[in-house]
Amino acid sequence: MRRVARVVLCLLVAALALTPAWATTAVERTDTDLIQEAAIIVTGHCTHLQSQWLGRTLVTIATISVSEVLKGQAGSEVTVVLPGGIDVHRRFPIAMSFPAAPQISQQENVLLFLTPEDRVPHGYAIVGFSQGKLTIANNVQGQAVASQNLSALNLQGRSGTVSRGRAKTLLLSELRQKIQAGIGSSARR
Amino acid sequence: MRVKFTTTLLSTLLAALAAASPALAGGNLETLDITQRQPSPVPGEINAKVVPVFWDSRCIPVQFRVNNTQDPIPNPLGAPILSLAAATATLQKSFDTWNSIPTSFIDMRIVGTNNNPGFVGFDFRNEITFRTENSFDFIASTPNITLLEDAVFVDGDDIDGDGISDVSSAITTCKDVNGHIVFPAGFYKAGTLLDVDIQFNVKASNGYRLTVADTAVDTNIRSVDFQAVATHEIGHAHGLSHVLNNQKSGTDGTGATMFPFVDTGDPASELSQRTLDSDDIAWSSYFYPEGSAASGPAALQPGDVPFKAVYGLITGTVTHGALNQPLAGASVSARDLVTGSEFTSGYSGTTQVSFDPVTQNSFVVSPAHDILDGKYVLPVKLGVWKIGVEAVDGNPVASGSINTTTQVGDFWGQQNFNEGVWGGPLESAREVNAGFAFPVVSLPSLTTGNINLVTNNQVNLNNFGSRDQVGFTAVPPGFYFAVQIPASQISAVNPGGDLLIQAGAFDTFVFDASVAPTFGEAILTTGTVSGSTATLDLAHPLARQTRFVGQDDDFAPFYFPFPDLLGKLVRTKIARGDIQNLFLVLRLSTSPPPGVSALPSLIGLDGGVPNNDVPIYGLSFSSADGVTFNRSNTYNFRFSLIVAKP
Repeated sequence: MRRVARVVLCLLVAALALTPAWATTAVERTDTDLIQEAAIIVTGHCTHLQSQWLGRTLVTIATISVSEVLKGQAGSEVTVVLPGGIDVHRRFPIAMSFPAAPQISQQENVLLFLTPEDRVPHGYAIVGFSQGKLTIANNVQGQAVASQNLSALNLQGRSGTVSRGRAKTLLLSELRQKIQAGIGSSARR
Repeated sequence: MRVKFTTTLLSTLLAALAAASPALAGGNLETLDITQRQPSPVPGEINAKVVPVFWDSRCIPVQFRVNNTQDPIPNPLGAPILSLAAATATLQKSFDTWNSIPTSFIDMRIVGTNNNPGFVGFDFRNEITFRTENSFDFIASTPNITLLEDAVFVDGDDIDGDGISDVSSAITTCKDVNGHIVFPAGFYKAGTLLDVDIQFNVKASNGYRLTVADTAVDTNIRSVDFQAVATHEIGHAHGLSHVLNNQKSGTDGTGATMFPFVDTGDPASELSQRTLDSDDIAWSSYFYPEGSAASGPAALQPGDVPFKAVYGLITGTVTHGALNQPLAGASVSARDLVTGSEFTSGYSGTTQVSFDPVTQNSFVVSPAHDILDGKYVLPVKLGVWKIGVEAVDGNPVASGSINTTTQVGDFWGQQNFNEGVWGGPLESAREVNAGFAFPVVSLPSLTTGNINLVTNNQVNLNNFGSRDQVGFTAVPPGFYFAVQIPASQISAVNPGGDLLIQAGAFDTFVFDASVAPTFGEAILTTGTVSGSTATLDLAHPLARQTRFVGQDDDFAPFYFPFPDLLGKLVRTKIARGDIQNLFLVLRLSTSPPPGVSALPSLIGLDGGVPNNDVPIYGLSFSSADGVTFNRSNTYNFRFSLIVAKP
């Protein structure tokens, strides 16, 4: 009993949202869960990445230039703390990694569901590990969509446009409507 | 036909006897290797190879300590129910589950406690803790520290910078000294694990109740079986990655322990993850092969079984058929040819990225630079296998939940192909019978090589967008779901030319993870539409399969026999006006649904939302009696017709 999207009860009655119930590393969230759990939801692009020690833990600090605030209040930039990082400026270069941790690339356009992160002033962590980070691009219809499956998007790599696919995507206009509606109709078990 | 079959098998065996060295790509977590510091195509940057993480044999047994600053263990749902002693005993069971694999020399032990009041980090303590930061909102995680460069540790090296030596020339194996692990001096390869911690989230704000008794497992989704979660995390703790296997077979919906998610609402699913699947056992054994050394932990001890006495290897490459590129991060699997049961799966490809030593950021450059090859390896027992390939496309697991190699392939748009099987000498990007699997024989200690997969270059006729929901739960047994594919859509694929009508693909789902989604039948047939209803010729289907087995949270293929003849027949009848539409049909089983929820198998739905990514096309129909099919104005059912140009 779990997870994923809304389960349609019958052909006439729509949308019972289940709390998705999984995970050994992360609990799988529905769109509704992500919206409800996030303190802020923003779109933007990554302008800077830097590995940094927080005590004895390596993290990667991502600076996001905010394009749109979909929920909550945020300035023109937000600081996102990603688990894990690299330190080569030491005698023995090392990496700290978390299986299935979210990663953001330089200049990547992203949709982020964020929750406050205590260790970094004004910092945020991503809700639900990698599930709260989606890449934004235009789909074949030219609509702005966000997806966890990069193959589903038209992405700009360093050498140009790459291919397209078909899997999980989230239409940004659809997401805006959901947020504005407050997702009040959903039920949980 | 039989002669040809035998000849090919012999050639396969000859290849095996040649014992080609296996590619090192599989079910492993990864890190970067910058040892060579070769310049990348980007000025100022260097190439960083993506390599597996592993424990050096000198550090086996791997020694863990349990954080004792919380006893009893907090319960976010109420009063504590778990003492530290009971939690430790359960952890030991999970360690023993891995330690008892006779073909793997991995050995992980709890050697004591520590009293760290803070959180885990790089401190040369392998710590198991129930303390997590506030933003940690998942059940558990296993962070690791790895070496990024081949290195020689010398006596007195303080690797973590805490002022305490982490290396000694006086020892030959890793030693726990006052709670710190000290490494023996010597050479270590990039990818070596230096420190692994396991953390469980029991915070009141977003944590989980951990239960240990069989009878305590329930359907409360904020409560989870501790042993199941711990066993999974300990898989990570010795380097194993997540896998896509969430469904053993058509009759067993449970999957591998290293599948990333546990269904906390399904007791049967939770309990099943305590026990290792053949996939988990095979990869632990492959990375830590028993009997692979004359001395040390890899040497045979009483009760051990040599890896080579049980396992052979299947190796080959995967090529993206449409892009004509080596494919990084495809999931390759071996299924028992007779039973269909999945034995193991791994990921294809050897990759590298460009690394900026100044900013410490890594970048993809181009497919040609980043993807060095599409090699894969599968450890398998004696058997006859069907070798399949599947995209890591988010159903059921996204590339970001696996490893770097799957993400590189995803970034370059490679995770967008239909699943397929190895067709032997007929394997190509344009196969006639895409569902034909050529048997692959494996023998212990031998490598069956050159099982080179090419993903199919096909056209999916998808009259749907992204999945918004799954359904339907309140429909009667034997209910029908159908999707219309108009003749004009079929004719447009290759106007005037031949067409292979190869398969249907149905997006399927099941409510309880321990259950395999099954349907009464899958059908390809013809029909007509009048107004808002459709009439389907179910008495004369073009293809029919009874007891159709779906895939949990994924598209399941229904391969049609004789795709070339079917294509010719359909094209001819369309030209004559005898066929107006094809229909893909799934019918629910008439048997009571299994599982704790007792809900029928479900299909993927696009729609039911205010602003859908594609229009509701009006091509989806349903019927309770198979006579009158009513159009859905709310959803597009996610059924796909797969065709190809010859």
